Amino acid sequence: MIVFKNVKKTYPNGTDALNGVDIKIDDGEFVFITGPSGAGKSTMIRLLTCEDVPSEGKLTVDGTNLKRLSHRQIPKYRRKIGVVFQDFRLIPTLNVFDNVAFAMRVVGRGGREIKSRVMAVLKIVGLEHKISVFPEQLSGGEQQRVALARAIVNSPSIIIADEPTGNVDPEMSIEIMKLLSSINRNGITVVVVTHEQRLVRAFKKREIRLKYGKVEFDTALEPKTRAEEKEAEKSKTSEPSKNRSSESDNKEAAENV
Amino acid sequence: MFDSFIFLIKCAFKSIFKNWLLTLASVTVLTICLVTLGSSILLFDNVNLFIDEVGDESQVVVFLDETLTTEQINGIHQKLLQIQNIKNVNYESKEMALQNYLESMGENASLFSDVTSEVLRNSFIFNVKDLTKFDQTMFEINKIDGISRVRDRREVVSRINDISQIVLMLAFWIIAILIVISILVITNTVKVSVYSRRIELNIMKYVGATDFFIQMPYFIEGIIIGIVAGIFTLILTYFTYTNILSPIIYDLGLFTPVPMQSKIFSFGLFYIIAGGLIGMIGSVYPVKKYLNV
Repeated sequence: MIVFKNVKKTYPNGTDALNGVDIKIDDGEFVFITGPSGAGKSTMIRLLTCEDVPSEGKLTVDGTNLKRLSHRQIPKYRRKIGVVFQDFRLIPTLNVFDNVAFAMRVVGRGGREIKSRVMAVLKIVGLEHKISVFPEQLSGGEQQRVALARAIVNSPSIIIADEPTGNVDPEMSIEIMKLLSSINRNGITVVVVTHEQRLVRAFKKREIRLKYGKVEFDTALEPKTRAEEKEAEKSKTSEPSKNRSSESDNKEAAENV
Repeated sequence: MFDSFIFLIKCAFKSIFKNWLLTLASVTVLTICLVTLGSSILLFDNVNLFIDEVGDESQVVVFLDETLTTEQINGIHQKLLQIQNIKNVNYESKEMALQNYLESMGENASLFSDVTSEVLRNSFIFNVKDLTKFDQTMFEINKIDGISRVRDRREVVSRINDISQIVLMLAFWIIAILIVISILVITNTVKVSVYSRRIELNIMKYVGATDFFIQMPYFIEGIIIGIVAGIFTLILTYFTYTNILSPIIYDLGLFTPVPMQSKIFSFGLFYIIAGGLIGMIGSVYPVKKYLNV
């Protein structure tokens, strides 16, 4: 369970990135974190991955207060989470198999276990036939699937995906989200940070929208329809033409799902 | 565990070959540093040997007053034995002195047949153990009553001491500077290899690799560079010393140079450990920066 209790984060330059965030994410939940640039989404991820600590408030993951984790305890905590980045962060000199195996090797897993587990996760992401291919020979979507395989290979209890569809085409975005959904169905908590409202609407999962470092709305706390209304109203007033095309995209995405 | 170890070694070698030019630069600078270090040690061994030999030749002779009785001479002998910094104290009566002198003349001894022992004096002959305390020792000896004159080669000893001090200081600074340069060059090499593998480091941190695991390949890289430099140094110093320097010292006839053959194992061990240590120190800093993620 992930609990943000009045979490505030102020950077040394005085920027208030998070300004009293209260969120509770249960085990096995699938959550979208949305919001405009500068809303505090990246800061949330940095706090969850222990790259930073809250300035105020309490952030606990599975009962562990992240603020109290010592530098030496962080690696052990990080093994519980899998992170997926927008830019994939694959090692260009390693093939698909080794990129995924790398995550197991650096935590000291043995050769046989690595081989069977890597093959298993590559099968889940549908890349078992591309084990010897290098990242540059793969499409954006395939690269993200490798990154996803790497994130789940150590059997984490939480997956954090930072704009996982930011660098892939719309069709593949749906595929990536489907994969994340199927991972979530196995009981893994999935937190997806995204800008893409069409995906949020298509997948009908809990959405937490941040604005100016605060929770603007959380669909777990207020009815989804009301939240959608709010969003629709805002979109209408700001960019009517874009909104129309976005809605048609959503329909298409929903159909695909 | 074994798999992890193999993985770390592979990472280190991969990085060494990937940045081979920088590795070569590191090995070269470290070799120069170690050669200087080793040469200084060899130089010191030889200077010490030289000082020892000169020390034997420049024995101190204290001549006694003519009026002393046997008891008084024994008393002086006891006092000399109590002085810590002298060794091989031998009494030479004037008769023995004459005999020794005539023996040293060889065939020409007959020319001195008229000379009697009365023109000579009874004396004590001894060596000074630590030449750096030569003046202090002579001061103690001069305080003993009954000694009429002391013959020593103070100037030679003092010059050797001066030279030895200068060489020591010079070697110290040269070695210190070279060690710092070597560490900096290795730091730079590792920095480049850390930079080229920053994505890997980043992923390592995100998947929960420990600091130890992340640092290990770079430690190994530094140590490998150090060991390779150590081996090169051993080969270089051995051949240069045995085939060039040693024959020159021998030909000059000053003294017999220290043989390196007997020390090859200890020298090899020293170079490898020193190289490995310098390499390890040089690899600490560049990785630290990436560990605080």
